[in-house]
Amino acid sequence: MYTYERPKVEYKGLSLTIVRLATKWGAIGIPLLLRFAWGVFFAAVVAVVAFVWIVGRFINPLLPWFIRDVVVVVGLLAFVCIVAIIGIWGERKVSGRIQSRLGPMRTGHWHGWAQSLADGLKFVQKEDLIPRDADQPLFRLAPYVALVPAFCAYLALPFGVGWVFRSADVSLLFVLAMLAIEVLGVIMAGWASNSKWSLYGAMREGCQLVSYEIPMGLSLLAAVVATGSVNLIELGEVQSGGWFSWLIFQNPFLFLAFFTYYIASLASCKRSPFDLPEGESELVAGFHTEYSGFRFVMFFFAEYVAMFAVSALATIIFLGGWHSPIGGPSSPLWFVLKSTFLVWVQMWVRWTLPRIRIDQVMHACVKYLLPFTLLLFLGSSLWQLYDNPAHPAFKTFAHLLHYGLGCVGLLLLGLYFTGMGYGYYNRNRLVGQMARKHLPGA
Amino acid sequence: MLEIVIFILFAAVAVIAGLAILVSTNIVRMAYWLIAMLISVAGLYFLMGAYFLGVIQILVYVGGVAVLLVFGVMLTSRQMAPKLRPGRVEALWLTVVAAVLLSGLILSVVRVRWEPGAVVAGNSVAEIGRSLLGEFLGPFELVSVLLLVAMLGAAYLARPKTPVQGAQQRKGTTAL
Amino acid sequence: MKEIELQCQPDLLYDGEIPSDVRTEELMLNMGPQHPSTHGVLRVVLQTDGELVLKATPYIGYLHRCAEKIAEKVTYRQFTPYTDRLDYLAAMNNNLGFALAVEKLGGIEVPPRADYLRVIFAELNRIGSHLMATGSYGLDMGAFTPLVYCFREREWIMDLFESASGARLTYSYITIGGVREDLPDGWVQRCREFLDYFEPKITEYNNLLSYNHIFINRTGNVGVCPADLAVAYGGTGPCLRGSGLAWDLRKATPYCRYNEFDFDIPVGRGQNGAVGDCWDRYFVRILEMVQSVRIVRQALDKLTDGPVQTKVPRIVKLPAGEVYYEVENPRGQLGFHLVSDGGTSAYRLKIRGPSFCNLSVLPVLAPNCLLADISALLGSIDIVMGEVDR
Repeated sequence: MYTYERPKVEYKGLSLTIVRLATKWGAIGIPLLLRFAWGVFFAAVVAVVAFVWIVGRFINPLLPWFIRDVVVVVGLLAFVCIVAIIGIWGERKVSGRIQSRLGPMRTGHWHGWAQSLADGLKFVQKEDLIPRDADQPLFRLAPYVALVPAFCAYLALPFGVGWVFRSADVSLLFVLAMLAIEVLGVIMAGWASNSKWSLYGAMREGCQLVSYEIPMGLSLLAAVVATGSVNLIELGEVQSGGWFSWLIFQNPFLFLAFFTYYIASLASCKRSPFDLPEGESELVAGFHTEYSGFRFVMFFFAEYVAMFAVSALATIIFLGGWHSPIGGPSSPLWFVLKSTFLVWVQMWVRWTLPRIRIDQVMHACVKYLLPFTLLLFLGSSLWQLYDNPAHPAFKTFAHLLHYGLGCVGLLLLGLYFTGMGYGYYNRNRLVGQMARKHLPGA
Repeated sequence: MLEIVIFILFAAVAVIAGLAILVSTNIVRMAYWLIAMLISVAGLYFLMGAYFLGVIQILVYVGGVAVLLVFGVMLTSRQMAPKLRPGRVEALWLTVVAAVLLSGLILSVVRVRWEPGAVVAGNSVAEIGRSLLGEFLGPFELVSVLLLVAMLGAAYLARPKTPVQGAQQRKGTTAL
Repeated sequence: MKEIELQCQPDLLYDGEIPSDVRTEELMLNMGPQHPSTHGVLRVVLQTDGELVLKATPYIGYLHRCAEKIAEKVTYRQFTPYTDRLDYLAAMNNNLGFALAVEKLGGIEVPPRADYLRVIFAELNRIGSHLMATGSYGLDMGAFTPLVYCFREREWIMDLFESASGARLTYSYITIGGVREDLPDGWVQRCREFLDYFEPKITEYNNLLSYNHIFINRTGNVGVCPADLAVAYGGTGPCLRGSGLAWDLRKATPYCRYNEFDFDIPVGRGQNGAVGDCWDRYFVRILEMVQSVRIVRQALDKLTDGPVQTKVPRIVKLPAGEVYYEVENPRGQLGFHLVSDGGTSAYRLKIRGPSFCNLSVLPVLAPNCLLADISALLGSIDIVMGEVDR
């Protein structure tokens, strides 16, 4: 009879001392920390300010560019982590509200805002399970190959005119390239788990991601043709001037290109309705079934980081980036606001639609999305060709269509807010009389 | 100074990865070492100022070709850690051919007088675009025809050999 | 180890040639007893060629609890809670079937108020069971929201049941001779409130899930079960009606005053694909919910006053004989074959579980399906392992 003997974990040397110290002093230290939490917080703020002053005064004159780079990268890391944490919390609240329940409400006292932090703490202290027959180095490497490129995409992503780590001439392609490396991490994870179910998830995911990169790139190229540059800052700067100068309204092909890009990016982030690789009902968790603890958290983070990255791309290229729609000052806050809106729409779509089967996913890409985006690219190129003063009739037609599309966009936005307001105003009536009469406190 | 450090970093990774491809006996590991090498070569392209080429290297080579390679390796290997080991005679031939090629490469690198050219990091995308559609239009079109032929060949090779039945039709009762 | 395994399950190998080295490897996949979409402890061993399923073999018995053997030991009244746990999502209907079988053999008459109460509870439980089936089917297809909506509706039904019988899932409310106790005050009013609240929700489910294009693509033309195949394998309930056959025991052999009610039998008409595909079976359940609401409203109107139980001795002794009584469960025809030798417990009780026969169609429909279609198939057949294994 084959019995499984659990490997005995023995801590030796440095790990043993760390574990002993942590258990001994943690039992005293953590309650102490919580008791003086506010004091610790202020002390930390003071310490950070002091550190920054010391670095600025003494170390900056020696290596100015290095300090700047390190600071920006640390800031981006922090932003990415915050995006992931808020994304996870937001997903749970959004899914709860859509499903007529509340979502996390307890951790942190206000609508469970600290739920992600609590989950992170929980995951960190979980046992590190690796299947015995798994490919050990690749198994350990896979989460990093999935997460690091997703973070690297932010290195070329401008939040505003001066708010970018490195402004490269090919920043759009760089972001796309970084998002393309993620495929390898997922395939590696599926293979190294040595489980047929994980392998299935990895294969499906590889097919899907690689296929949907093409419509994604083509839709973005339609916009590149309109501006003539692959530099994200230039793509953003072209759209300064309010609502009607956004690239999405410039010509009908670009309007449709935004939606095809959005759908393709849903597939590229493995979000429902394209979330077959993580098909929860079929493959338990697809390619990351065998991952537990912090490695699973890295995959989860990678998903939310990539979600924000593709939404940020859509914002910069189609929705005006960091410019405000009403002609005020442009700022990174507008950028973050618009990207967050797109991420929220991604979550909305996820909790509404069922899952598409893999062969239907490939069908949709190759038979419908790809020819359609080719047509959009062609149309956008021809539009640029004819939309110049040499063809005055066409130019007036294009002008009219431009503002017409802008009005269509305003209409859609108005519909969205109207629906929101109607639902909020009638939220008691819509839920039904029975719920109102029998709720506690009715 | 910094350039030299970065160059050594990327080149070392490329060389080590290349050697690891040769030394490794596990096909899947070989595929991933290849990916590491391709990414470090892309880094070298970035260092030389060929930003567009580096990005396309990652997008096409790593994101497309290497993924395809990994797919093929993973789907056709019969067991978890497939091993490749050359036989005795093969090893001898391989050594001879490799030594000849290596000596040729080293001699050519050493004998030629290299002149460092200026790194022109202009708007590479626009320049490449203009030359592709201007000076090198002929080769560009020929390459696209070649790609079309390759796609047609692949589609023909991958066609189903037996007629595919309607996947969900069932006619009548069948005894099991 | 391999040999022992093969001896126990000799049909594990694909009955055909051993795959040669040139062909692509055929994977043997185990949708094990623990799986999110096999609705209970069902093990399905799949032979797949890539994404295509070549052979599916279900292995049952993981939930076998010897209910039929226990029936030979305990008295008839003591067996009622065991019937709850057969199809635990439709406990009232199980109780009803058993009570009717015992009453037929024992010649026990049931007062009219008990009959109408039985109909009300059976139909409400039908609604609850179909809600569960619909919700979990949506979950299998990746639509997470209909599940929570259906469970929200089920909570109201379970509240009604709890106030009437004291339990939320396994009621033992319909007993031999009638119903266990009368309704509490205000129950009828609350029931009518619930029905008024629930009817527009069915439209909501249709808009959210049934007419969703993605859902139709996933379930239309998948797992087509022609009517003769369903009949040959003993499929009943929505599996049979989804294939186009209008056969419902409530109309064909009416029991418990069902002939006094006015309702339709929905059948699958192949609106989104062939007749008898997964979508048809699913939509038949949605339509049946509408009909059940109709029946409950009529029953609430017809509710007379009176006793809810006839005088039946504490230890029920049935005369020697045998009876086979079938009722219409939400999942099909539930049959009780009761053989009595005159004692206080049955000599033999054989339960015909509808899910057992419905499940037997799976190996016939599964070949030439894609892997993702197996979940669609299992969800549309809507099995409950308690009934399959007993």
